[in-house]
Amino acid sequence: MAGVVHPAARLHPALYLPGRSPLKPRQAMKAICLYKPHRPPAEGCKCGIWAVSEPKFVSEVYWSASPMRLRGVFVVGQVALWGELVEYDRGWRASHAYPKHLYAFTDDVATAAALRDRYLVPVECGEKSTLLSQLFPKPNGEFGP
Amino acid sequence: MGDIGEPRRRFTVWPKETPVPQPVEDPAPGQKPVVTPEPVEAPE
Repeated sequence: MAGVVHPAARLHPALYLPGRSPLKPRQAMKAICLYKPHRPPAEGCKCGIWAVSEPKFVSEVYWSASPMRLRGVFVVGQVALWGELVEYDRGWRASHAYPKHLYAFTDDVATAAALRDRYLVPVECGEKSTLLSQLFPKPNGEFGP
Repeated sequence: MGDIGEPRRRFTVWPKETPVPQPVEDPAPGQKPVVTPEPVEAPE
């Protein structure tokens, strides 16, 4: 998953849509379809919660497009997916999700701690997050910081 | 949205225990309290 932490330690999904609320702490994220009245992840639609199988594919879920326009600390992480799922070559679409382990791209321990306390999951920051970022693709298709 | 390839299979998973952690002080009915996550490590 990818998202942005706002100053109030609320995690917003990476794919920002006007009016979309932040991920609710200690509650499952349940997908809804914004296009048709069906249950995500519906066949022939792009609805559902998207996740990639490896960090190098994270650009496929707009990890760097929308979040950079928002204020806050950028965050990626592992998620638990359940409910209805569709497996793809490089990821999944699911009906339910919740973070399992988060990586905040900041040296600010207080921000990471606030995120951990709010969502009750391990949160890394500083060097560990920097190491993870080396696995991410750069805009030109290369890897590394 | 991006491209995560072609769909391989569709399946359903409903875990017996919720993947959503609950506060130790207030565990969900019938569930064991979740161990508090590891403390955040300060950058060197």
